[in-house]
This record gives sequence, C-alpha cells and structure tokens, in this order.
Amino acid sequence: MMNRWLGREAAAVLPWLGAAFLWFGVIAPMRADLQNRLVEQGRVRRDRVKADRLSREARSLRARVGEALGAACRSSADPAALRQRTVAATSGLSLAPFTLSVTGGPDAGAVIEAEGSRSAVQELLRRLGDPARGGFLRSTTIRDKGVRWSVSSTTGVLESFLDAIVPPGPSCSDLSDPGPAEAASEPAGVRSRPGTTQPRAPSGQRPGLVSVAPSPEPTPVPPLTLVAFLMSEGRSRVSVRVGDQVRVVGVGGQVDGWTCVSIDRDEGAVFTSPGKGRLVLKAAQ
Amino acid sequence: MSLGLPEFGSRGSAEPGQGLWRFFQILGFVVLAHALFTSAIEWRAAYGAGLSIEGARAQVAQAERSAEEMRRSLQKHSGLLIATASVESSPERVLGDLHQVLPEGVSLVSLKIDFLPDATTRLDFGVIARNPQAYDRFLRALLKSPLFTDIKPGSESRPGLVRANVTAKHRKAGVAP
Repeated sequence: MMNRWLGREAAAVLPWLGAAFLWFGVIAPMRADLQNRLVEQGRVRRDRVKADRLSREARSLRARVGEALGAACRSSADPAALRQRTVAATSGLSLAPFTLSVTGGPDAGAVIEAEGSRSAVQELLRRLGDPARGGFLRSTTIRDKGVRWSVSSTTGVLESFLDAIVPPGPSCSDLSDPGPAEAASEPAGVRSRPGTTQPRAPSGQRPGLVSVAPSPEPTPVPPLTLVAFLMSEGRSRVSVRVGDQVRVVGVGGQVDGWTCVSIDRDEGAVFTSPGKGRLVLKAAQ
Repeated sequence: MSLGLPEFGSRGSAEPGQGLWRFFQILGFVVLAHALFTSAIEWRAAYGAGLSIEGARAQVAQAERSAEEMRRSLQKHSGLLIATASVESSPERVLGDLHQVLPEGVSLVSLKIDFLPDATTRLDFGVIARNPQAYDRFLRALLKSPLFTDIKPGSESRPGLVRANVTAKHRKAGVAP
C-alpha cells in the first residue's frame, strides 16, 4: 500500500522535476546568455560603425588623392633633371635673387629661395606645385616686403609611388617649358632669362646652391641660350634653352645641330656647327 | 451477497486523493511540455543570434582590414598625401581664402604653409592690425570661416599696431573635416 502511494506521488512529481530542471538548468542560463549576446551585439555594432567610418575616411582620402593628383605625371628624381625642371619653372618670371638647391634620393626635392613681384612669386609657386609638372610643394614661406615678395619653398617629386593610387599616367617631359599661355599670363611683360649660374659644389645626391639671376635679353637672340652650368659626378654639363625646350648637354653632345666642344665656367660653353660656325655661351656677369 | 464470482462492471473502492494526484501529474506533464517547447524556442533563438553575431563580427573584421589596408597603402608614401595637401591647399588658394577673412585695417605680412603627411595643411601667418579691435574682428572672421580650423592665436605685440602670429589648419572647401 505504502509503495503504491510512493509510486503514484513520484509519478506525479517527476514531470514537475523535469520541467524545473529544464527551466532552471537550460532556459534560464540561455536567457542570461541572451542578455550577454545583446551586449555583444551592441559592441559589434559599435565596432562596425567605427570600421565603416574608417573605411569611409580611407575611401574619401583615396578619392581626394585621385582628384588632386589625377593630372599628375611621374618625373625623375635625378638631381640634374630636378634642377632643370625647377629652373624651367622660373621661365619668364622676374625673380632676383634666386637660389636653388636640389636633393636626390628617396626624398628628392628642391629648396628654392626667390624674390620678386607678387604675381611672379605666385606664378612660381603655382608652377612648382603643379602635379602636371611632376612636382609638389612640401612647405612654403612667403614674406611681404612691400613692393616685392620673398619666397622660400621646399618641393618634392612625384615618382613611381603615384602608381599606388592613381592609374598609370604619362611621364613628365623633364625638359618641358611652360606653355605660351603661362608666359602670356605673366603681367610683368618682361621675360628675363636666368643667365648667371654659379655652381658652388658638384651636383650629386646633394648638390650645392646655384644662384640664378636674371640678365638682360641678348640681341639678337642666339639659337641657344645658356641656362646653367651643371656639375655632376665630376662631369661638366650645361643646360641650354632651344626654342621652348631646355636641354642638358655635355662635351660632345649635340643640340639642334650644334655640337658642344668644351665647357668651362670662366670661358663659357663652346658649341660648333658645320654650317653656322662657333657659338660661345657665357654666364652673364 | 457474493457468490465468489468476479464483479464485472462494478467500480473498486476509490482511494482518497487519487484524482488529485492524477490531476497533479497531468499538470506536471503540461508544464514539462511547455518547458521543452520554451527551451527549444530559446535554443533556436540563441543559435540564430550566435550565428548572426559571428557573421557581423566577421564582416566588421573584414571592413577593418580593408580600411586598414587602404590607409596603409596611402600612408606608405607620405609624399602622396603631402602632394594632395599641396594641391588642395595651394598657396594661391590659401592666400585667397585668407584675404577673404581679412577685415579692413589688417594685413598679412608673412605666411608659412606646411603640407603634412596626413594630407592636412598647417598655416603659420603673421598679421599687422591697425588696432586691437581690427585684430579681434580678424580672429572672429577666421573662427567663423569653415576653411580654417585649429586656430591658435600666438604672440601679440601692443600697443599701437598689433603684430600677431596665428597658427591654423586650412582645408579646401568641400573637403570633409
């Protein structure tokens, strides 16, 4: 009788025990986990917002780079080419004094110090920072000196790293000169040419300063005009202007039918042409 | 009177409380079924939420990796970002923007522009103001302009003409801060 009663009670209580086990052993911990998961979801959501923001910023920066440097061209970081390009950027601008120091290597660039009219200085900065010429500005200091402005600028070179962001474009014509539109935009109306060049140290990775001061226009205009004497790795070379181009030649080199026969800073650069005779280009004093 | 034959069709004597126990037992089974059903629903929800969190976490990690790679590829060549800043905040543009906020009686005497490897442009410029009021007007106009941020007025010399240095960051119009 007793056993029968116990069996009946146990049979009645057993489902309750099972339900209690399920409730407190399974459902309650799962619900507690749900709270943790909600917290975790909140954390993931915040991380996602942060990642989206970072991604948006990176995309925006990339778009800015693409937009700013879309028209850029790759140029050489070779000090000689860099020097020519920088000198070419002064074409048609009345700047005096003008000093230039170029640096090769991974952080290739030039340091330019010049003084001139406000428009000439602004035009110089525009040309130096024009990515279509293969250069950019690292820093610039402008001082108002009354009628004239002085500028000190450090430039960099747009090299192969452009490929990392913008689609491959053309290489800059290292020897290109500003176009006629730029020359026409110069309000001074005087196209002084940098004629005096005084290299103070051999040009290599760290060439020295070159002073370039404007000189009066020679009359009549010779076929070649001396831009600068260059010294690189013990070799003397000159950069000369031919029409709208600036070319660099060493002894034995030819430019526009003229052959360079000697280069001497004091004696000048001597060119000969079979049909035109002899031409001596000297630095203006 | 019983003749020793079984009494078919007659009920045995019911024990007290038997019906109550039976009811208790049935109710227990109902509660157990409910607990089973609830636990199944909870398990399913937990499983789904777990999968969802894992998926979201993977997506976040992917987005972070992608952003990081893009950022690294940009920062790998600091010249690229410096060049971008120099094009966006060209000296010509900076001068133009500064002249827009220069009130009467204040003139710009020097300007130093540094293009930084984070594609920003830092300016350090010197101004001469006719009087302190003009200089204050200039600072107010500078603060109002969306093109100049992080404005820090530097040293000032008074009385008479106010000569002062100011540092700020410039950004091209339309570029997000």
